Amino acid sequence: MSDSGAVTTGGGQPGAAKGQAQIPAPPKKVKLLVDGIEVEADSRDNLIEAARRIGVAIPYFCYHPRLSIAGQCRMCLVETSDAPGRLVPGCQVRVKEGLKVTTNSPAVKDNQRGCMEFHLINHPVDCAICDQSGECKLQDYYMEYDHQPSRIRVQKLNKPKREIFGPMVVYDAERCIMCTRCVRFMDEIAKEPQLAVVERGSHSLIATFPGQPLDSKYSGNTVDICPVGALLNRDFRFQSRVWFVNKSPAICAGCANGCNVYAESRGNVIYRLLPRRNEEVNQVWMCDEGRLTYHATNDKRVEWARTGKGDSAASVGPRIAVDRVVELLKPLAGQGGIGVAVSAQCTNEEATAAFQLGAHLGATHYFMGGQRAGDSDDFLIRADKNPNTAGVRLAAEAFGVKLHDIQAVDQVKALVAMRTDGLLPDRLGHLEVFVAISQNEDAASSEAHVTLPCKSVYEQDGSLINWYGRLQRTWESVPAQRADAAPGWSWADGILKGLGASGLESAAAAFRALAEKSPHLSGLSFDDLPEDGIVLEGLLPSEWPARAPRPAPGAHSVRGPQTTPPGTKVGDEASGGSR
Amino acid sequence: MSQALIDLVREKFPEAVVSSHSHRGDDVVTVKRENLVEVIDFLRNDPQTDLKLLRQIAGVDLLTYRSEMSGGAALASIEVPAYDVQNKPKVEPRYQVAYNLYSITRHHSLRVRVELRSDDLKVPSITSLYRTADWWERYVYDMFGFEFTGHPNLTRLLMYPEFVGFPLRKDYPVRKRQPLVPELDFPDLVRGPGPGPGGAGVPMSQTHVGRENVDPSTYD
Amino acid sequence: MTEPDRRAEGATIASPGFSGTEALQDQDPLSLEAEIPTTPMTVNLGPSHPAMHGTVRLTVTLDGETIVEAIPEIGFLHRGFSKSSENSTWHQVLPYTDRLNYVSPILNNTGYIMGVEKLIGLKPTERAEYLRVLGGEISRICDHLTCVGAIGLELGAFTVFLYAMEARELLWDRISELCGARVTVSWTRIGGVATDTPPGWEQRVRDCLPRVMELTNEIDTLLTRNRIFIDRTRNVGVISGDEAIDWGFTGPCLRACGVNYDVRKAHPYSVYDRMDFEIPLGSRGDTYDRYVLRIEEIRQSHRIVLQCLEQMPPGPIIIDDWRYALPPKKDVFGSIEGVMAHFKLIMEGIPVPAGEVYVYTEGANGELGFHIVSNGKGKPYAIQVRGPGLPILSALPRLIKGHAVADLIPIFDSINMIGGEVEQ
Repeated sequence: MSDSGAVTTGGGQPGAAKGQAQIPAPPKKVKLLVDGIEVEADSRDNLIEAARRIGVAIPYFCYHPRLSIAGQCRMCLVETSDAPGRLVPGCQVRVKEGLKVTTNSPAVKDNQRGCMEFHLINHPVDCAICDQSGECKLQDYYMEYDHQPSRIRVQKLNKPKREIFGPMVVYDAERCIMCTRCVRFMDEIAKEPQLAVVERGSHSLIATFPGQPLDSKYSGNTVDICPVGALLNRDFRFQSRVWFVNKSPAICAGCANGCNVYAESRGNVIYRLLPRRNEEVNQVWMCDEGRLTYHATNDKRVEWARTGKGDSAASVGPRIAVDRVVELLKPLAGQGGIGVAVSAQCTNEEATAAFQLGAHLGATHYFMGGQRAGDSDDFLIRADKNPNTAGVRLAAEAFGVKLHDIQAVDQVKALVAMRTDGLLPDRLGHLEVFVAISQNEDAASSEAHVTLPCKSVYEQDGSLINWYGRLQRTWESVPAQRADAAPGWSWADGILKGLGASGLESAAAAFRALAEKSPHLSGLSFDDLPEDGIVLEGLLPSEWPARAPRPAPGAHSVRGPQTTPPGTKVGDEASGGSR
Repeated sequence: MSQALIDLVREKFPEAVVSSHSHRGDDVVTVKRENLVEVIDFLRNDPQTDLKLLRQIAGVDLLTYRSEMSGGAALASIEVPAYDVQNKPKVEPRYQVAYNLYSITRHHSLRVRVELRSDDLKVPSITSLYRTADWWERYVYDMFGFEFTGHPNLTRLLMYPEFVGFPLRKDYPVRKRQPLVPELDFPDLVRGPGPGPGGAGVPMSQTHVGRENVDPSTYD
Repeated sequence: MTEPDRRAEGATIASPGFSGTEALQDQDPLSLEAEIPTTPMTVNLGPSHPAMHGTVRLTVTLDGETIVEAIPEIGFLHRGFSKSSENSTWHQVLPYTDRLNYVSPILNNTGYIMGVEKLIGLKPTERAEYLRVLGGEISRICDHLTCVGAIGLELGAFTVFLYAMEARELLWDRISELCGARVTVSWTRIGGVATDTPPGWEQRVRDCLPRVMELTNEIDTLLTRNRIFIDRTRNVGVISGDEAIDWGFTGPCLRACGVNYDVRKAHPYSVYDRMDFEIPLGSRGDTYDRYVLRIEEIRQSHRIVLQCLEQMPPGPIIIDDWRYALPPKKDVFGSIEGVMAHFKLIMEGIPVPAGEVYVYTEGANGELGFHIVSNGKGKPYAIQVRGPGLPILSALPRLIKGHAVADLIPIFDSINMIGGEVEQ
């Protein structure tokens, strides 16, 4: 409707209905009064966003900044000077110059209390068994705006519970408050309209077409945006209560997109991955496959450093294992016939350490392995199922080595493998010395003469470069130590020191070693990397999938952090930030 | 309640007062560290104020005051990920020392506060004004590490002397272990006879009374 | 008594060795006028010592029997109250407060909860206020009986101790009937108290009080005009009112010096303004006064207990606001609102508005203060206890200096240092 390119359909961001993220041009400013305080708002803001700018929280269930407006829950009703004596929905009404908004008048408070009461009339008494406890909007808003006892004296309505919608999602109709966020998400963002509202009145349900599952690759996001425990993640269901787990930022290790995530963990186990906001990588979404990548951190790990293989394998301490590696490699150093294998799953620091070790050993061949390629789409899923292919290639270029395919290991007699993804066990039998720094027990790690347990990407500080050249930091997201596991660069550091060379004391040191060699990283320091990553201009591709989030055009060699909108609780970005 | 006290302090020491407020009946005035002793001296000795009872000296560490990760959820956040403590913006001034003064004759009270930055932990001691400040300052030193300059004997009060760290600081983890302290040697210490026939320092189990050919490593 | 220092070379303070032989050479050792060579000796009392209530170590330097110097060392009972409370919800801190002054736990609970209520700006129900005062005064009587009994015990009057214990037992039985436990009561809640009086409880209290007062009078008769007791406690450990204030004294130890400061009268809180009672004051500030004061305070507390029983109205014992008080169980299991409220209150804690407050009540030993800082969450941000015993214990060296070792014991008993509240 507007010809200035401003948004024509709902959502707080332009083009949100089309599912595209565009960092908009500097917007027009509008001044209005919210609760007597002057706010300078964007002209495209609705009242909720305008109030959020000054920290005034207007509650909402069905509104989501990235979806179209439903106006269904009536929780965000506020008073405005344009409509005296009436309440208007804060999600639908645009800001206007000079508008006076009141969010704390008795009428508004009564509406909030009444809305909560209505929403809770048929809500089952499920808190004790519902996964959403601790992150449930009904609970939060009830304590904030209602906190009155129930007034109903009749039976609650019974509806289908624990309906399996799809491979990732299970639906409980009794808990559903019919906000339709999931329906709108599937329509507008996932672009696969697999959900719809059926039945009428208080018997309404969300349903898929009969016989069709909710099998979109982005179905897991409906669980994030569901404000109550109606849609739940089948993988996480009943695994842990949310207040037991610690949230820490990381990067998904599922594919080259490098979606920013929160890893929720307790002890040395990760329970869940949630998307983290990064407008230029994944907005606030992630794909289902990425959500499952944490299992590799929990299951079938190489735990203890061991020497020997098969029946003669013995768990020795890390120091003894490293000594054995040095003992095996020292006579072969510089003689030729040593190969170093890296994986596209390595962080930049691990790859750097591997190449530095290879340089010291005089390795003749370098191999790159990784997970096999898979399918891709036009949004977040990339065919390359390794998070750091670009990073390993950049490191290889920096060290001046050529990377061969991992299948060609029969060209060397001794192999040091920094992560064993892609190594086929039947090609390893000829190796005289095989040192594997590996994360999971696979066929290859059982062939190694010395196996050193490697920390996963979620358990170490490191940096990764995604498919379009964005250098992103990941943090140690698991607070407890798992057996002997250490980051790959730390093992390489021990081996280098044993061989008499200087090692790499920390991830920052490894990054510095790489930055010194690579022109793309010149001037960057590990500790000062911005939280949301830096685009390495030299690596930008020319082709972009249709809906993939992309960095804004223009100079962006160093960008400041994209702050979460004021008033959004950290960690709550995917769910729409209504608290 | 005692807004008059705050006004008096502001009047007498206009450049010393940083801020003041009243909350739930408590009156608080924040003064600059250099003026602390003279302000408290005035408050103690002036007949109008007569704040002769120093009730408490309290320290507060504001490092995680604004953090979302602290608070809420009864059981989480004992293992706070390193990201949270490292990367959250530093709060300055990080510490506050609060002196709680009371007047028995006039029944009014005032809290005098001093703010400290994390790199500068010196506070002038008021032991010359109140004798009870001695132990309170030692307690706050023990728990937070502030250095009370001019204190006659600034040593730890509750923790043992070999304790490492300052427990009530927010970056001291609740479950932190301390290094083991070797047993102190007192060569001139006179020990009495021990519990068992073996003499002092020999546990009963090692006395071999009634036990023959027993491997001492199998029991204690 | 200052003697010239005749320590031999190399002898340390801990290993007395005297060079008396040189000095004796100047005198005829058989003369009755010969001076007895002495050296100061350091004696360690505690921390495991029956008379060191709550593990305090006193390193006492003696010249003969006279105390030259005493250095108290505390910290053996420090359990990290402040740090633990930063990691618990507001209600989870309550059991920690029980263990502060473990001889009168209800007073600790009340003090802490009143601090939280002050931060929220909440007033508990009427009946709850009376119950808190009632429980608190019974606890105060128990605390004073313990102190008096200990004074008697350690001066050799075992009968006094047994009488005090019998009186205490009667009262502890009432408290355990009311709260469910003797010492670890955790009885108060934000907005009220946890349990109401069981049926027949008030009558049982009325029945046992005469016996308690009878025993108190017996103790009074045995000790107060007892020649030996007076000789041992009169003018022993004297401190003037001004000096006491400078040392931070509050409570019975300060009132024994003649300073009229009792929080219940100076800043009446809860329902103390409706109670008719007096504040006994001492005159000399010595151990004898501190003892007599406690006997008199038992009598005054007895008056308050009777008035509470008379005035206490029926009604709810906790406010009906589900933001602060747990909903009744039938709502918790029967309605979604109840279970949500219960859930949020337990798991996230009660959201106490951000702020800093110092709340003070009259504990058994003096002004018990809590400096509470909240940052708006369900857990306290920082709590620091002002235990009344800490300033008094810091003045102990001043009180006992110049007295004989034998006087140390009654002085230390009379200040009633409770390790829990001193060391948190």
